[in-house]
Amino acid sequence: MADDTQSSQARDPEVEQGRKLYCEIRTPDGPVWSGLAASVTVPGAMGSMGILPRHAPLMSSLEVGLVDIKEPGGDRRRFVTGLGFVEIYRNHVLLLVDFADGTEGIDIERATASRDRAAKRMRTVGETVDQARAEAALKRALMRLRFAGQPRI
Amino acid sequence: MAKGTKELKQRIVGVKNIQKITRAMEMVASQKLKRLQGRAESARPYSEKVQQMVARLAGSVRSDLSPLLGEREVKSAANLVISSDKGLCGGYNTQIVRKARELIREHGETEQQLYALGTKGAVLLRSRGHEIQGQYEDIVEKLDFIRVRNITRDLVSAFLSGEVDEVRLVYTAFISAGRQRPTVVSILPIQPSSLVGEDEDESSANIDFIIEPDAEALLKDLLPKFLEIKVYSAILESLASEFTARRNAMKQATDAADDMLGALTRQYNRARQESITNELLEVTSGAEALK
Repeated sequence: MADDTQSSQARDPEVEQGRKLYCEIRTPDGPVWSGLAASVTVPGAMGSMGILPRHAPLMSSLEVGLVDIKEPGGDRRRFVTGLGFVEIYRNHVLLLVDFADGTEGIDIERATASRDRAAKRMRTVGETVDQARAEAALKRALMRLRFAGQPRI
Repeated sequence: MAKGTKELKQRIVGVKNIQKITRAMEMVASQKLKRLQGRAESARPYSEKVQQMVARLAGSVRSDLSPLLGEREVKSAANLVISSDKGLCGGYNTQIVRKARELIREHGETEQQLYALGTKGAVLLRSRGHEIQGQYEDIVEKLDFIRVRNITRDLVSAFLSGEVDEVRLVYTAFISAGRQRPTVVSILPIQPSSLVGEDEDESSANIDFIIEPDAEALLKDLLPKFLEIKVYSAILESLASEFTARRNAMKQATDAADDMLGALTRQYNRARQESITNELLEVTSGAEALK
């Protein structure tokens, strides 16, 4: 898995010994986040899936949902993510998703506006090619709203 | 002043104005190029990993697991020709159209459908008597991943419905800042054997992965994604090539304007000097006559 895009954290001894996870989120628009984690929860195709260090090698598809990363220090990072895939291999959790929005930065007003805009567009465009785009935008906005400003646990 | 200097002066001003425009366009093109290279750069980690996952999965499953892997006799093929929406980019569009026509000639015995992305390519192909089966009206430069997905979906459904037996991309590969080449790649059916070679030193290739929900379902999600990213990166590469071509064309135009200005200025100075000499001659010969 020698891959030049991985940071030095990827080769952290604690990751190699199986005490921590190295997690990375990549989207077509660029890498979103990477870092060490104590545990990661992902919206797997078969339901929400918790990942701890020393997990068996796994590949799975992902649904639109919430990725919850617990950092070694106890902090939590949450991302609303789009359709995609996850690969777990040697304590590396690699997420390939259409989009990933950190829940901390979600602006409720903006998300509400984009939800309404997407919903309106879906009603007006009818059968045009933009339907899929509006639908994707709506899904994303809804997810953002659902997890916006959730208190840190 | 003698006749001619005024016209020359006007031409100099005209050339200067055009030069200002070409210089501005050159700068805009190189800025856009920079931004595009950034976009291509950020898409790479994602696309590389998707390829790797496809290779890993597809290599280990039978080819009848997904219809996208199934090869069949090619009776007709779809070709997506990626060109630009605007001109003034040198030979960029003519080159890609030439490549497309070469391809049609080569596979003359089978049906070759053309899909055009970018208006210039569509116009050129039509003017050379080719029929365009589908033209995407999007502005190439503004395409995002979601729109690319729709285009890919069209191509995939044409393949799955049996309308075409092969899907190719005709685009301009961005090899380096100094080298771009019109290229044809076949994207459907997917040939897993061609992928496995791409990362041979794959230490994890033989690891037994747990696959959820199962290999077939995962491939069903993964393969379309793989195609999308292929089309997306072909478009990004084409755009980078387009702006390189435009920047070079505009640089040449700016340089040519410089040369032209030099020649015109010399001509102007000569004409002006001539008229001064003439006037002087008239004055001195007038004075001479009065003696």
